[in-house]
Amino acid sequence: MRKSKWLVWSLVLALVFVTAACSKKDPAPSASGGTGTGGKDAPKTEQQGKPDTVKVWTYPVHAKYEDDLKDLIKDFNAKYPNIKVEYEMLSWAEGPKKFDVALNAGDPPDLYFHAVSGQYVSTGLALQLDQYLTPEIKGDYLPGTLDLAKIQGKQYGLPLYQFQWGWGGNKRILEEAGVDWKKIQQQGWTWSEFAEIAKKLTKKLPDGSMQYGLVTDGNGANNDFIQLVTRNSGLDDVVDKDGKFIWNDDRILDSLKFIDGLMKSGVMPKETAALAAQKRTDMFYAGQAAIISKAIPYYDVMIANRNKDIDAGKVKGEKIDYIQLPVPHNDKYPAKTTSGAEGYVAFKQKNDKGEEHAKNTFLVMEALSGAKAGNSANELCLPFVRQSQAKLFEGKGLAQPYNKAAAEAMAKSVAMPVDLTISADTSAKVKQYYEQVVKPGVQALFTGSKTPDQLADEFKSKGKQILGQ
Amino acid sequence: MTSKSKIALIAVALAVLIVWAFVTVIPLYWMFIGSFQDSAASAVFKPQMIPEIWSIAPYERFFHKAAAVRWIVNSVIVASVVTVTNVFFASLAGYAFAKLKFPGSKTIFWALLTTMMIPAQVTLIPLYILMINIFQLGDTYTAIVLPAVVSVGNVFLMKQYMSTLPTSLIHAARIDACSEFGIYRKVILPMAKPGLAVLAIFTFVAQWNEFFWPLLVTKSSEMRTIQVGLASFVFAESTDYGAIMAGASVGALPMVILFFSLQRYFLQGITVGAVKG
Repeated sequence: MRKSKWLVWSLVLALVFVTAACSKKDPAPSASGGTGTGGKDAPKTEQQGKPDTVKVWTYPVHAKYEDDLKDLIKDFNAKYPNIKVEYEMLSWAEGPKKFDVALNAGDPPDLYFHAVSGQYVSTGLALQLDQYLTPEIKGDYLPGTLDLAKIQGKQYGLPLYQFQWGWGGNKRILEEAGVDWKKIQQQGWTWSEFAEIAKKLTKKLPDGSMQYGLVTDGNGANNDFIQLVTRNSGLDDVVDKDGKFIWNDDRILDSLKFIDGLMKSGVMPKETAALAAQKRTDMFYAGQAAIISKAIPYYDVMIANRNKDIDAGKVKGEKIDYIQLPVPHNDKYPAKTTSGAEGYVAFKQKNDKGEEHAKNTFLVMEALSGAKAGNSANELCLPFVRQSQAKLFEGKGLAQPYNKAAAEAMAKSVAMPVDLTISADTSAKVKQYYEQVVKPGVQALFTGSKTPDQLADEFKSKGKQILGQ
Repeated sequence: MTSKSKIALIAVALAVLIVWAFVTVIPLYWMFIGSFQDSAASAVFKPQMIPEIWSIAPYERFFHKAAAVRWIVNSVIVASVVTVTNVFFASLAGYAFAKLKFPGSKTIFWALLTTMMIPAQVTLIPLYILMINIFQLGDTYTAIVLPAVVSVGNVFLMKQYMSTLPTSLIHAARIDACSEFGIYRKVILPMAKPGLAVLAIFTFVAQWNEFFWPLLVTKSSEMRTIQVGLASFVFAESTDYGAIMAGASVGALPMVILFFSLQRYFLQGITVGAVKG
């Protein structure tokens, strides 16, 4: 009996395998299950009346986005029953890699949630949308927002919201230090103004721990901090909109000296190079960080939820009132908000499905980006990109009015992403420059192993090598 | 060695082992207590070793996902099938390479080994095209399982293990007119149990933790494995760590059960060949 145990188990499991392998999944899964809306009741596929299927790959944009999406698809199918929408909810961490494989295999989905990219266009598979955009649709978009989904003047995507990166403050700490945060929200602040304020925000707390004026995640996981600072020193990016390398003058040196000054004065913790994003947030919650970088308006909702949890006894800690702040700017240059648009980008496949399918793809795209889709911007406390969205969600904002006003003020000084105008080749080189030169360089600045002058020289010389200028 | 120095040596060894055990257990303990805390508390760098506030809300959020139970079932199906096929095919191949003499056996074996040098990233896109575009197997168990039916690493492991088994028993079985498959089933498999248990555990754990391939070839929530499903608790600007910890705790159970059920063989398997004579 024991001798045959292995064999019996093998056979049982092999049977499971064969059964599972032979039973292909339902041809049209239900919307509640994650994909598709055609369901089992969809019309039988005949050669002529065969429903066209539009594949959508998206992300959990906010906690309730999947519910929103199902609603949008339901509305769409009521109008266009012969176009089936199959959606797939990807994970933020690994979704881009999955898309990358599909794109390289020549089989991307028809619609993908992301910012437009020159690299998509260079594959020849990105679908140009200008011919489908009616004057009504164009007119509905708020000025400048459609441009955020163009590459070299051609439309490849429709924005769903305009994201913003800034800094976030603890209202209690700011007010204790006498900081007029409302004025800063509306009028911005210069580096020298910030340096003065930051000194007041940096002190030893009664329990012996430090309260820092500014805390960022400096562990080299991203380049967000240096980008926020340099953008406010007249440098929209490593290259300008024409692809010319610009991190080679005093503007970059000023930026590095500004950061170095914050480190040396103790405004930023000396452990910055080791701080992960979560630790930065923990310090903010613990009252050890007066201001954090980077922060987005959605933190208002996130922190308000934490306050509710504290009230309910689920979480221990001090309740915090969140203040959205713009990033201070170089006294010689104007303030710039780091921003961009995310939304749906349209694709065709190597095995092109034809013009009719492309038109249907656009119809779905417009349905997923219309007035009701504005709930994403509303949930994320970001400015709306369409007039119809702003109208539909008027008075339903989730953020504190002062933070909403701050986000609107920040939206007025947006730095256009250079990715929209530079070539895919330059874009790839810029990424390489950030990874190989900027990341380790900024870490060296945080640890004090390189001076601003040394680093500025390195940025210049390596820029010449990599970007060829 | 004096008894004093012996005691000191044991004390040092114990201290090292205790520290090592601590380092190994703490992440698991963190996962477990994190599954009973709110998301913010479970992600704090210095976790509370005993949470002040216990809550089953993370488990509620995890099981609230319509397909949460299905993810676990999928993982069990996929990992079990891959384990069985690997044990079966790798042991067959290992037996053939270790004990049978046939023309080109060495060449084939070395050719197989060289495929281990090819990075997975290189074969990823061709495999994707093959499974999704050519075979049209997207969103099926077959697509998840097929590329993992047998791995060269496991064949190599089995070949090395089978080489240690006494050839005289095989000769004896052959003299008794046993067929080759009969020898494999009646002589080799019973002797190779410890090695097969190690292979089964390693394969099951590896397949259970596999993330990227199931993510690539599945699209519906119902076809996802637990690892892929857990990623859906990561949102654009926040992560539900509590629900992830709860899902990971639930998902760890089958592995714990498997390990304890095969523990006896596992220990034999990893110590085989350690002592001569």
